[in-house]
Parts: sequence; C-alpha cells; structure tokens
Amino acid sequence: MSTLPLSEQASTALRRALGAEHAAVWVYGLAGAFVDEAQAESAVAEAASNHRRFRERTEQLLREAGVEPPVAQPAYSPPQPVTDRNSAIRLLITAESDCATGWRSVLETTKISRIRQHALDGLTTTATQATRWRITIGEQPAALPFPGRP
Amino acid sequence: MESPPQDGTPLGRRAILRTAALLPVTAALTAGCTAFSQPEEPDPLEAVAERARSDAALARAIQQAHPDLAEETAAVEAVRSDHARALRQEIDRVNPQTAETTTSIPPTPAPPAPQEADEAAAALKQALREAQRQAADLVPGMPPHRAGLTGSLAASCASLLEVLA
Repeated sequence: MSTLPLSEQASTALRRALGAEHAAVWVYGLAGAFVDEAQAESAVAEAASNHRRFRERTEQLLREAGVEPPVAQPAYSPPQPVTDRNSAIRLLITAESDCATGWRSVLETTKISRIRQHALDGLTTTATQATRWRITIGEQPAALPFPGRP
Repeated sequence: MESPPQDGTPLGRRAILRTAALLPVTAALTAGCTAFSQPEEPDPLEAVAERARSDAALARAIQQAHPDLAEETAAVEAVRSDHARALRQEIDRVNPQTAETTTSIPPTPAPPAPQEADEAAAALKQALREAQRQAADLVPGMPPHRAGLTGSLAASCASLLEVLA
C-alpha cells in the first residue's frame, strides 16, 4: 500500500541515500576496530547509531511509498586501505561525504515536506559528523561550505 | 529601443520577441527613477545572503580583535563568504535584472567584535545558529535546486558550530 506519492527520481535518490547509509553502518563497524581512545570510541558508537536510525527511517519511508528498500551489501570495499586510526577515520569521512551527497540529492528531487525534513536532518547530521572527524585528524578545512555538493 | 516599422507593416512576431527581450534592460534602467514602479517581491535568498555577509564580517572583526580565535574565525569567514557568493550567483541567475543594481551594494560594515574572547565566540556561535535556522526554515518551500542549496548551507552552518565548539 502506497501512501507517499514518490516520483521515480525521488525514489532513486532515496534508495541511493539508503545505500550510502548502509555503507556507513558497515564502515563504522570496520573503523571501530582501529579506534581505541575512549573519546573516539564513544564518538564512533554515537555516529553509528545515528546512521542506523537514518537507515531505518529511510526504509520506512520507502515502504510507505510502496518501494522495496534495497538491502545492505555483505561487505564494502574501502577506496584506500585501512591500516590504522587515521586511515580508519579518513574512511569514515568518505562514508559521511557519500551520505551527504545522497541526502542533498533527495532534497533536490522531492517536494514532499516529510521527506525533505528527513533529508535535511540526514544532511545536517552527516556533515556535522564529517567535520568532527576532520577536526579529530587535523584535516583542513574541517567544515565545507556546501556539504553534499557533487 | 525598437522603433515601429516605417513601412506600414504590422509588427511581426520577430519584432515582438525583440521588444520582449529588451524589457528587462528597460526595467533596470527606469527602476531608479520611477516612483510608482511596483517593487518586486524580494528574493527570499537575499536575507540569507545578507546574513552570510554579516557573519563573514563579524568573523573578520573577531579575528582581528582576538588572535587566539584566528584559526576558527578564519574558517567561518571563508565559508560564510563562499555562502554569500553562491547565493548572489543564484539570486542573479533567477533574476538577472537585479544583477546590475545589487553588485553596487557596499560591503557590509564590520560589526564591532565583543571585547572578551569568550563573548566574541558566543556571539559568532549565536549568529551561526540563527543562520542555520534561517536556511533550514526555507528548505520546505523552495524549488528543488534551491532546497539542495539552502539545505546544504544549513548543514554547513551546523558544521561551523563544531569548528567553534
């Protein structure tokens, strides 16, 4: 039963954003093994829980629109090898950036306010988290002017 | 300006199109001297752009007054200036006829930086929180491209708050 009139374009964007969230959840699982200071550990746990929350809410929205949400891949291949804390955090930043691209694209493909609000929350949360990680490893600039801009 | 055809033929389609194409220029030229011209609804992004300029100016002022905050405030100034530029571009893209009049707006004068460093940082954080809210509030009603732009800008202001945290 479909109660959300989702356009084809919006459905594609929402499915891609979900794909990025699936990947982020996986990447946080991997990176957690390389981050051992208590402070970073709890930051990893908090961010991972945010991604799970967005993933579930997105699945729910897609189902409401009568679209079967795509499932997570069994594993993802990091673009750079993860060998230590900093390379793990750089991978987290990549995952967050992919989520930002996904959420911005959702904003640009639908006018349904519930979905826009969800996408704005996703974009804000992921951009903020990416900035925190950049600060953690001293990467500049830590805050981007337009997160999610392709 | 187009002069009416001299040979007595009625205005053709091409002539009408040419006249229409000339209208924006005429409007821009007369805007300053016509008391009765109806002002157009201002672009909602004007206020967002103005806030971006004023935040950049505040960050610059704090940077000069409080060298301890130089790194963070430089980041805020750079990002908020990028916001102002991108918004100006978008405003002009949608309404090219305002481009000529708005480029002559003088730079926003720097607001005074609070004397204490922590007060200054708090003032900048407050400004960024308001900027985030202002942009986020616009997202639901914006056309698609602008929803992406303002949503991204709101997320960027939230990120800047992390830099100042």
